Amino acid sequence: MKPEYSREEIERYLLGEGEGAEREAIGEALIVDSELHALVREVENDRIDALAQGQLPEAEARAWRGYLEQTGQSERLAVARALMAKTRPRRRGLWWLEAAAAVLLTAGAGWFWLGPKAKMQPVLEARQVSLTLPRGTTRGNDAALRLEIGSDVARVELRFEVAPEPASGYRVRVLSASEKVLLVREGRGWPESSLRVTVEARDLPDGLLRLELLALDSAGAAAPVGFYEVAVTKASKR
Amino acid sequence: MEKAHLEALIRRLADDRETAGGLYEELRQRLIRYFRWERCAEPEDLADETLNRVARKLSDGEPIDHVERYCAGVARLLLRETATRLRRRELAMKKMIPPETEAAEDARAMACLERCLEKLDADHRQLILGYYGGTRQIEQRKELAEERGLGLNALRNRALRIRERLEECVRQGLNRDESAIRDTEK
Repeated sequence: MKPEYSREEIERYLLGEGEGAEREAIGEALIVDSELHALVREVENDRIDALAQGQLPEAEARAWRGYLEQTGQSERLAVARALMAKTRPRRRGLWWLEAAAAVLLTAGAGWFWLGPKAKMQPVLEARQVSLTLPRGTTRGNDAALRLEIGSDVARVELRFEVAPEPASGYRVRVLSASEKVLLVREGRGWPESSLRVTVEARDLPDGLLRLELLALDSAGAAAPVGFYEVAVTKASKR
Repeated sequence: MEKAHLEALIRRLADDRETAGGLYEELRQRLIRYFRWERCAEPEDLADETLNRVARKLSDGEPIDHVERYCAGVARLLLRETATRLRRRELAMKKMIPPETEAAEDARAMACLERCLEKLDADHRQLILGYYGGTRQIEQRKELAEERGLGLNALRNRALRIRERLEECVRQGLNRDESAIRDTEK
């Protein structure tokens, strides 16, 4: 008869717990029994996903981080975070809002939905430029966004187009092309369609910048929502 | 592995070569994961060494009733022989690699994931997002299995295969990104 193992026993095995003989028995079983092997892989994936979503208590999270390091799989955590962000459920009851926005925009009535002030291109206002960062923009897109900052501009408004998220806060990071963090902004709550963050123009250097938008949960764990590359051109002062 | 040894092992796994090839690769992957779960630094090498030893025994005419069980025994012995030495080497190497900031890594992984999901066919994409998404996974997986007329184990095996391919694609993308960053910094 095939030995049966519970998820808890499998977790203990993966975390390196248990006596020698007990570990050897499960080790042998998972080579011989392909169904048990698949179950171990599933338990491993599920724990990594829970860790990626910040769902594990601190001690357990530490143990699974240690596991990933010791088994040379640390990079799987970033992949799991991305996969979980991709499959994260939208807030119930608001799906229709997104659908309605899509219909309105497709029908060419986007101006009405977004309001008369919103435009897709950078807009020059009184000493402030605004850059709209569309949803779904990633490094994989061919065209980088462009931001021109005139010599009389003091502030830049970054307007992220977002969908409702079950988040209790947000974090925006601006990084140089060489990954140096130039500034970080955090705030509470999550807007339904547009997140606006204003930064000082002098804090944004010329050249290619990377902007990251992350959703924060109540425990402070961050999940990526948007990632943008922006080519900044600053006019020199006369 | 010597050709004659490999032939002896392949012949024992199945009568036709295609099935035997598939079973060989599946067994090799199980051994690789076993050595990884046991924290060995070079799981692929150890899996190959295990199969090598078993194939040599078969080629020498050793009577082996159950190949997979025999492999498990050899793997266990090999683990005792080498695990500590290899683990130490891995830790020494890890210290040489500077960690990447989490947010930067996440953003790159997200971009790679989007690209890799695009490469999957629509059915696989739908399956993987359905299998791992949502907050009520047990019920969702049952529903997904019913929708597709599959048993839960068959669905799980399919999801594991797709996820492994997807993760490999993202990992390759991240490595390419890192090479590109290094090239532009030169």
